[in-house]
Amino acid sequence: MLRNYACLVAMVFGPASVLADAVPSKEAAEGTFAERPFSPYANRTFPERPLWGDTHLHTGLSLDAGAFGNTLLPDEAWRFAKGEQVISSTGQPVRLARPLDWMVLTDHTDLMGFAPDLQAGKPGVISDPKGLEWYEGYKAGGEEAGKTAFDIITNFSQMTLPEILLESYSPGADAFAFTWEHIVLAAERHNDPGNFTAFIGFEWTSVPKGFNLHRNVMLRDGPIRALQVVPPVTQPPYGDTDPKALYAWLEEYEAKTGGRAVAFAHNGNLSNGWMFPTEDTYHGGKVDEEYVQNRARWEPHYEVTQIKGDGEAHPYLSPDDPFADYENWDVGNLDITELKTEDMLAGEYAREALKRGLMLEEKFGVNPYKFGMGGATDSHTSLATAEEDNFYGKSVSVEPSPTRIQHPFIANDLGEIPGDLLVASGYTAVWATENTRSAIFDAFKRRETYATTGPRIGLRFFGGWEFDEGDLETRFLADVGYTKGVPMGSDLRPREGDGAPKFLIGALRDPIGANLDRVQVVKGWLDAEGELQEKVYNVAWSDDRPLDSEGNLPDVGNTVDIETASWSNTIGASELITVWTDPEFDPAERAFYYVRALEIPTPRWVLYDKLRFGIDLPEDALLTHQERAYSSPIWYTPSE
Amino acid sequence: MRVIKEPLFHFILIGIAIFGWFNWVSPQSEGDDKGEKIAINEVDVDLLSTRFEASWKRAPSEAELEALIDALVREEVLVREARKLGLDKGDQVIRARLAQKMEFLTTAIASSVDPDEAELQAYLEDNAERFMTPSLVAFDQVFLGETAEPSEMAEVLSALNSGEDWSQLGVPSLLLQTMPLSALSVVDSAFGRGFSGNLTDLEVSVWSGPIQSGYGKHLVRVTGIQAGGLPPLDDIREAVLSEWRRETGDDLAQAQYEILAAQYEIQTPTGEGDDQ
Repeated sequence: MLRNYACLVAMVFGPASVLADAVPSKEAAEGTFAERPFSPYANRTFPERPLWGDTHLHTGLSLDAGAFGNTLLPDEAWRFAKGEQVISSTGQPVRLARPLDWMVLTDHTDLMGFAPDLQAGKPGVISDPKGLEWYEGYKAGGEEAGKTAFDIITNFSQMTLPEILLESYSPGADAFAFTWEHIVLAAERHNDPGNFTAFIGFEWTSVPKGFNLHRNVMLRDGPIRALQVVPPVTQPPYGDTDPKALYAWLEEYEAKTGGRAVAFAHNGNLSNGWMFPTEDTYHGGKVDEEYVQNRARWEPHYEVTQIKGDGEAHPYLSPDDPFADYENWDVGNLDITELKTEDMLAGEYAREALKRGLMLEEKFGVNPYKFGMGGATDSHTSLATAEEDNFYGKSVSVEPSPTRIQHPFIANDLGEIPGDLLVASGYTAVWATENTRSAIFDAFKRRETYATTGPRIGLRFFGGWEFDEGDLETRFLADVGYTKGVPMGSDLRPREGDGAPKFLIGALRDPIGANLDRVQVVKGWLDAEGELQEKVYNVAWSDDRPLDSEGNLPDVGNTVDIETASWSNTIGASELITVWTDPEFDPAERAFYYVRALEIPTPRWVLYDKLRFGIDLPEDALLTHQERAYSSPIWYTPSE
Repeated sequence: MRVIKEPLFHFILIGIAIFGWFNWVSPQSEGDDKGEKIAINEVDVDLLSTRFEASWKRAPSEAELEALIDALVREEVLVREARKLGLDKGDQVIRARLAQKMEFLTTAIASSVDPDEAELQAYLEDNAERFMTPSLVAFDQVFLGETAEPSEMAEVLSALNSGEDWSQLGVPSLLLQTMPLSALSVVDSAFGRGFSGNLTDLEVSVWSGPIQSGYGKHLVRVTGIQAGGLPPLDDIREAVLSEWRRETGDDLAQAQYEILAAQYEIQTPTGEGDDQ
């Protein structure tokens, strides 16, 4: 292919005499064009299939991952994501059922590269007394190593790391720059446009006083731009936990390199209310014009579901939504140094944030929380596993074993997150026209993404003013959707006539997964009194169940056999399609709409552990659940 | 461990040369301790001032340079005295640093070894799976539903063969009707495991089936097929070479270690495992 291309270049640019020689022979030309068009995407104008990926994964280069014994580096992480079998850090052969199409590798930048040096007892580490103590603890293994890892992470979050270690593994130090180079070059080696996209990225690990304000960053660019910078950190004096510092870095990155980057937050549920502020920011700032503009500019995406809890909705905030209580973690902040109180919840969950965004847009003219939805694993094992029957846990210490379920994620005097609450979630689907860095990145920018808790549910969601029942007859749903409306992540086109917005929605079950129970539209709006409202509508469902007068639907049932961890698709539907019109539309009110599609009940990962290891589960362990997909919203803004 | 005869031989030759050279030069630089003379020359001073500039972005002043030289002398005196007292013995940091320098040396040598053609070809073939380009298939499909009676299927098939608009036949669905040329794994991730395996033997441009997917039964017309395979070494030489380097680097370093270790008689208490 390369040679053919060179030939083509010669034909276009070469002098006349060369041109004559460069005309390919008949056989060569046939070889070229019979194989495939030069662009495999020729003739395609809109995305035809969702591209599946993970936006959040750690390797042994991350401080905490490495301290917990992760010895797999980016190469293994990439090979695993592409579908190759690898040997996990605990020596177990592991492989994904289906390869991913793309991934963002996001190692923690603070003390990036320290962990492998700790594991190897490098002089730079053990020349420090604390470093030597940690090295000996790590080498001792077992309980001792666990304590060591915990001590390292405590010192990190309390900002009491030994100065010399901090200096040697922070921006300005060779080790830091080389680790960044390692990350960048590994991504480049594995980036295979058209087949698999490897994004260069990192996690900016802001966790002041244990309040999770983490952001992941993905670059649209390759090494030429990425290597002109090193990523930002949060530990002073080398960095700052204030998101303003991250925005400044992003600004500088784009200005200096001409590249493009986005940031996205996750686990608002562990921020104790600081993730989506409306008045004051954690760092003593105000939610002012500058704040809303920065947030809107740099954060067009939110990681709504992952291993440390699902963050779409919370039953306290959405008491009328029977499905809001899904894999929530609401005990406290990240290290449970402060317990959760109910007033914190509104600053933590995606649905509430989308609502708050409408209010702030009314105030500032800019919506800081206008984000698309995605799911990610946040695994610290280098293994992007989000499937219930192939779940490798949060860290190496809880890779599959008969005892892993007894290890709490965290436990202290204030509270506990027991091990069985880890969530085998999630992935992000992207509607991009080709599998390349630029196409996928651009889809993130226009929010044409959706989240799932793991299964590959197909989800189309279009909004417009002209859809009608006749559109359900079409065999080209996407053609109609893009022609008559806008896709998920967009603003509705200006209102025409006096009708309500209509939505064309299609959901398709995972080809090797469970049937669908129902499709819902979640609407949030700012009413005439300035109050934020929400409502969940059942819009399509299986098995001809009747809606009651309140719009509630009977449960779909449950076919899970606890003894064998199996279920059957005898209930639910393979596919659900509908056109839905907002029955309570008020053209004067700002609103957003997103789709939630639910599967029929299936086994949770703990049930596979019970079966495969022959162990007893904690009595209150949840055995089945309804996995789901969350689309990015479509927004409506009243015209002036 | 993989046995690599050719590169290993080169490697040992280079190794002998480099270690020999170090042996030869080191007595000169470190051997005159007895003379109790400490000489700081121009080269040392230049180095001090360059380092200073690197961190402060300016040249050191006279006084600063004086202080740097004093510090260097002080360090040299203390190091020599410490050595005389044997303080360097058993210090874990010094030992780790020395061991690390030896490792650097061996990996640097390993990365300079060039494999010959046959070696690289053999490596490519041994790791064929990693370098293989995937097989691709393109097709149109008509969905018949979860189950389909043979009579219904025959009806659709005859409509297809009589040239009716295929895109309007069968059961409407969200499934892709036309799959562009895609890797088999991509096809399987859209239609379910094993679906693509049933396509590769179908006659091109002819409606065939039924083919079972994760959703039900389909009639399929393959419109293009491109067999994957192992590209010739010349097309992917750089990728193969860099993989070979990354992988053999460790083996070569281990081989070097074994050569060195062979010079020692190593005794460990029996019955105890290693300390990992």
